[in-house]
Amino acid sequence: MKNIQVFQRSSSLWEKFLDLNPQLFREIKGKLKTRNVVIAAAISVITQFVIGISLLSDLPNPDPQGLLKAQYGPYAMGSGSGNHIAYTKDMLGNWVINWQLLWLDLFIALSIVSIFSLLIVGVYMLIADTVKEDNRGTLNFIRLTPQSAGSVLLGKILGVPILLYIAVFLLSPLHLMAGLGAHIPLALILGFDIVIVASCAFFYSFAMLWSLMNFGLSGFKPWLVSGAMGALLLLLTTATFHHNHLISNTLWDWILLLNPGIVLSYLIEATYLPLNKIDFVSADNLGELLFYGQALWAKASFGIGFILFNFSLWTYWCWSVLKRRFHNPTNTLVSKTQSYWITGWLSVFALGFTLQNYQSYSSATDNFIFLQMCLCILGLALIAALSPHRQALYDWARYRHQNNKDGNILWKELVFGENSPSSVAIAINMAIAITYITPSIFLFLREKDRYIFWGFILSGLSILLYALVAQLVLTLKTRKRSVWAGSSVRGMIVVPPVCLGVADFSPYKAPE
Amino acid sequence: MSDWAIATYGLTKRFEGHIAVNEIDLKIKSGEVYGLIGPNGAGKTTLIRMLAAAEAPTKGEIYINGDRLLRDDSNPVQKKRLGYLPDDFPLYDDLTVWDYLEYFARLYNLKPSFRRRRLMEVLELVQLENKRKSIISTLSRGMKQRLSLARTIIHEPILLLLDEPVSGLDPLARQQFRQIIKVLQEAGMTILISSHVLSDLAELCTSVGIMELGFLVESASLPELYQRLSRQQIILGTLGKMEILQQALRQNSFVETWEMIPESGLLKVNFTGEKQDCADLLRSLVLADIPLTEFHCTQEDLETIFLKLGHQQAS
Repeated sequence: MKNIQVFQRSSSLWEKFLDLNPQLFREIKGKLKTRNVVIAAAISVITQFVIGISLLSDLPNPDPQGLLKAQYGPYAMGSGSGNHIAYTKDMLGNWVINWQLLWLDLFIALSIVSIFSLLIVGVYMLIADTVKEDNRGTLNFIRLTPQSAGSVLLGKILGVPILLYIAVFLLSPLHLMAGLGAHIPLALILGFDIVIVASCAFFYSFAMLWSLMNFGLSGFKPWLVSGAMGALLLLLTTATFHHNHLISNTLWDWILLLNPGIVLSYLIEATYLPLNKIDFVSADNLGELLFYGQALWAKASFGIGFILFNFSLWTYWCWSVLKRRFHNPTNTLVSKTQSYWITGWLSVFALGFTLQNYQSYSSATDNFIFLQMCLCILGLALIAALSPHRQALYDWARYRHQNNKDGNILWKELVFGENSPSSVAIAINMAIAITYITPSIFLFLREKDRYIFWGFILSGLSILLYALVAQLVLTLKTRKRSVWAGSSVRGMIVVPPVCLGVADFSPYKAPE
Repeated sequence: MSDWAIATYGLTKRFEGHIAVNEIDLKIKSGEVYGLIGPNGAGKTTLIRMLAAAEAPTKGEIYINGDRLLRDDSNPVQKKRLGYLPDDFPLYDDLTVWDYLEYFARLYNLKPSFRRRRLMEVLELVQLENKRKSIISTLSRGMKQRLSLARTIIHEPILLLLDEPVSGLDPLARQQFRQIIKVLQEAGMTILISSHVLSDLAELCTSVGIMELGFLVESASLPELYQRLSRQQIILGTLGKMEILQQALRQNSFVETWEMIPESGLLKVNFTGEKQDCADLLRSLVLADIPLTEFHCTQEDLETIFLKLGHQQAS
């Protein structure tokens, strides 16, 4: 088969479309070739065929003479669940089959396949492509053109996985047919599709950001993230299938919302099929999830709306960090101002999922302890994202007075300045988070549990200490500064508890 | 300030403890072809990368046609004025020559009605019309170099920054490249070109800057440089005895020293006089019945001047 470009003739409409985004033009020219499109289409058709055949194999064998013994399967109309329901026959001797359930299973299977392929393969393709362009040096040429970072990155997101989009698009007719066959309202199917698009926007933006981070291991970057993405999706999807009561009423539930497949609960509920026939987390259980005490997920419209808001918000922040990073690949990952906003939003969300209708006071305390751990993780991420390396820091110290009109005002430089030391900014970030969380500790916890507040203060101060040490190590003259800084912080986290353990000393019992 | 195509003020770039470019105040007039020479590691590439906005300066400011150059989304007009060809020229191996150029034409927002015509123009200029449908991976190094130059000028920049554009090319490809640069110069582009091939620069440039250890130690027009630093020389040949010729030369006060040019049997004379003095010398040698076969005035070339300044240039 000749591997020629699919769109060789210039039609004015197509040309106008490609004129909108030159990067998309490049990706289409490079990837949309006959052989590639045929392979993508074939994979899509084969996938549909295999899923369809495997579901149809659960139907009873034809038995016009009525010679066969009883047959069992999941699509029988009798009572019970699983594969042990006996198929019955109607007055004309035909098998009575629960076609709605079969269509629903087909719809769910196609949805899961689409989500997995879009999020794992798509993320891999984007990171691999961007890392390759960065290593080869071609990305620099694009940076020098008048195109905005947004235009280039959007072109990449739309164009690099274009064969994947074609394959998934070819699944959509059967997907829609299966949804309608399962009596799912069209509005909910479209809502589900929009959630998948929003999740792609978030994870693809994150993938682009990841590919522009400088930490070596460039060949390993795509495998690392797509592998982690695969593991996360597998874990979350398996959980939705095997736990009817998935909601734990902790901060963990926030992670569940990163799986667009969770929306299937609303679609399944809309079919009015008996829940014992479907192994999927129920919409009722999803309704138990609270955000600042509000059961936002009890109704499909609110639930889907919040999931969309969640994805959109973090896509926005990924995108703003990405746009800055694209033109300044050697600067710190995020600016100090961006870090304050991101910490603020993370605090709002994290506290929202921490405040639940608690069964007991101890679970409330546990939730806050978990929140404290998450704050530590945020602090460590901020150290990595905000700490400038030796060269940048030295340049800032030497030339800040000349490069910047505010360069003489030290506090402004430390709070907002580019490439200034990270310690003050990290202290402010910790202060933002702790200030926002503190009133809830005193409002919702018993007096004897309010020591949690001191736990937050201790965490904040520890992070500040780690930040100072990491910043100090990053100014050393050695070659592997990042590795040394990471090792120092890890050592400071691990060594004290190990020492206490060896000494058989429990801090909460002291003084005895 | 706007009289200058390029003006830099205190431009500095540090890498760790090493200062690659040190407080450079470079000024280049519009329409000039400015040659940048200097030993390896002098800071030429870093300077050009900063001028192309491919590298952020540690300190200092760059003005292109009077407008401050910044490295962000805020200056699309500035970016359209610049064309940058680095010493390595990464390309997209999966695209054809035409698609590659069309991609960059679109990136630089060339209008659809003008795009096709411009692509034909640049392909003709770099002599790759017959390769327009070829996949880039199948091109030779020289062709790839010319394709990169075509990409650099596709948007009609008014300032061209070329970093070692002829390195690794055979003599024929170099000559083709020189011809293209001359055409671009005639079209009115300001060109900054760094090269180790000083004979090429002497042929192309109107001004020259010499860099060493991050400093711009010399920046002047080529005639001024020759006038200040190049000695006039006369090449002489004779059918008679060389000693008689040398005796006659000793009597001329403008003759400083001379040396034999190996294997040619010619004499290279360092001469301090003007044109009239040169004519007088010729007359005196003819009157002295010396059978001259060659007498022509020349001057020290760029490489000699460069070496005389104490630099070791690898060419």
